[in-house]
Amino acid sequence: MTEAAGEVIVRLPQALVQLVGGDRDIAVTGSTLREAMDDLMRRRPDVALHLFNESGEFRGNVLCFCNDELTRSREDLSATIRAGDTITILNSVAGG
Amino acid sequence: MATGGQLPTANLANRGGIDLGVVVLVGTRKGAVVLRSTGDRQSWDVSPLVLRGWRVSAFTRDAGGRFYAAVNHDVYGAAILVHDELGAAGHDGVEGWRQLDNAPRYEKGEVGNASHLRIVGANDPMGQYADGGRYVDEIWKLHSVGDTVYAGVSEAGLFRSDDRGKSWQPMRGLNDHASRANWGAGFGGLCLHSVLVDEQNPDRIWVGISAVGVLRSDDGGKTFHGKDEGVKHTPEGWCVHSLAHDPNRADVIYRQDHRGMYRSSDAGDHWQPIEKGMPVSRLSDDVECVFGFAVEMDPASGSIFALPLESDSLRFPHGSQLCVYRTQDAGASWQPLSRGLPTGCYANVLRGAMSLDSQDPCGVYFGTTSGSLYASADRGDSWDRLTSDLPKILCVEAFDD
Repeated sequence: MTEAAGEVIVRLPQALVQLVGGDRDIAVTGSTLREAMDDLMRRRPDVALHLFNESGEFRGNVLCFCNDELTRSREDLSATIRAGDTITILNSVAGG
Repeated sequence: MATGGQLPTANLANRGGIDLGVVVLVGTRKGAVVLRSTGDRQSWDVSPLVLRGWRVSAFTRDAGGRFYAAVNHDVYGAAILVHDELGAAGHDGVEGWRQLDNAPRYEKGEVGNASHLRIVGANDPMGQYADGGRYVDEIWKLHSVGDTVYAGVSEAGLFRSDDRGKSWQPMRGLNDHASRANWGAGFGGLCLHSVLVDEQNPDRIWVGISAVGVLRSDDGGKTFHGKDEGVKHTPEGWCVHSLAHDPNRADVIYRQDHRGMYRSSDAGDHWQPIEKGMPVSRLSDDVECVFGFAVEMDPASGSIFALPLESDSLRFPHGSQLCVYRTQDAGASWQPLSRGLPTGCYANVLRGAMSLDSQDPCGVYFGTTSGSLYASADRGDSWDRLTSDLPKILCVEAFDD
């Protein structure tokens, strides 16, 4: 973890919270999105199982926003984050 | 229903000391249901839907009494849940399930099978399989031997855990099999759905993969070899649907295949058709054989149970009469058992959706794709419907020791 690491909130989609339990908002630390996601995996490996595939990339139906910006793959997670940022996980919705 | 025998109390100390009665776990497309009865199986408590939102595809229980549930979700993928106190006083299985931190998973960079990718890629709007990787998209089978738990998955592979689910090791003798690139997927993808282990010689393991066939290991999983001699194959390969045996007389195996019902008396080296008395289907490619999915064995009586279906394209009971078939002479003849089962039934019974308890006489349980659960407390002679209108039933497992 770098010196600039701060606490950010990862907000999980309600559909995932219904399945795995626990809090919808998880506090993690990191100076980049990748560090924050790595911290999330350490704190909640059960959640991580559902967000990332075997290649370590977000599952295809999972979306990750840093504040209002969409990050489509883990390669995008080098973006710097600051204390107080919110990382929002969404799942795609389909049907009719 | 007939009165059953007493619980096998000698085994209770090996299962966490819980007097379980008879517990039947029913996994469905949208959750699970827990049914409990005392050993007489005259009345049942039926839980509300639990594990809501999960697709529940398999159950098992280890020697220490831990229950395992294989679950999946279209967005969030496959996982394993456990319950350590189900059956104890105050623990009815409605609450108390928790997710394990790990589940069977392939490693980054493992290459997917082309025929499987064609099937999963046909319904992949988000492009999850576009990179050609190998992913665990379903846990089809959980099988416990002592405190070892095996998991059969799709894309086809076998994993084992020796630490009660804390970690899962790939069985590379199968997962990296030299023929893997040539494996052909069945209608539901390339899935490892059946696992048998010789409990007198746990190094001997059989697996069933659609549509690859039966493979056997004699060295604890280091190597696997195909065992399909005598079985008619489909264009994709040998499409085994399910397997059954007595784990303590393991080399006699029963096999419901896409191409008929078979028996092997030599651990799978050779197979012979055993269809006398069963209704034969004409399949979509004009082959005539017994078609179905589920097959189960009662070791105490030697009875085998199966549920043949009208054809590969229709997949509902012959003449719309829901009917289980039983053999008591190792497949030399089969008898229909439909007393108490409905006519006008157009539902399927999937490969994992039949199970037996170990009472005397054994109880038989099966669930339909239209959400009904049927039970017999007299080895199939008569049947009752225990519940109905559930979501599509994917798996049924009975536990009573």
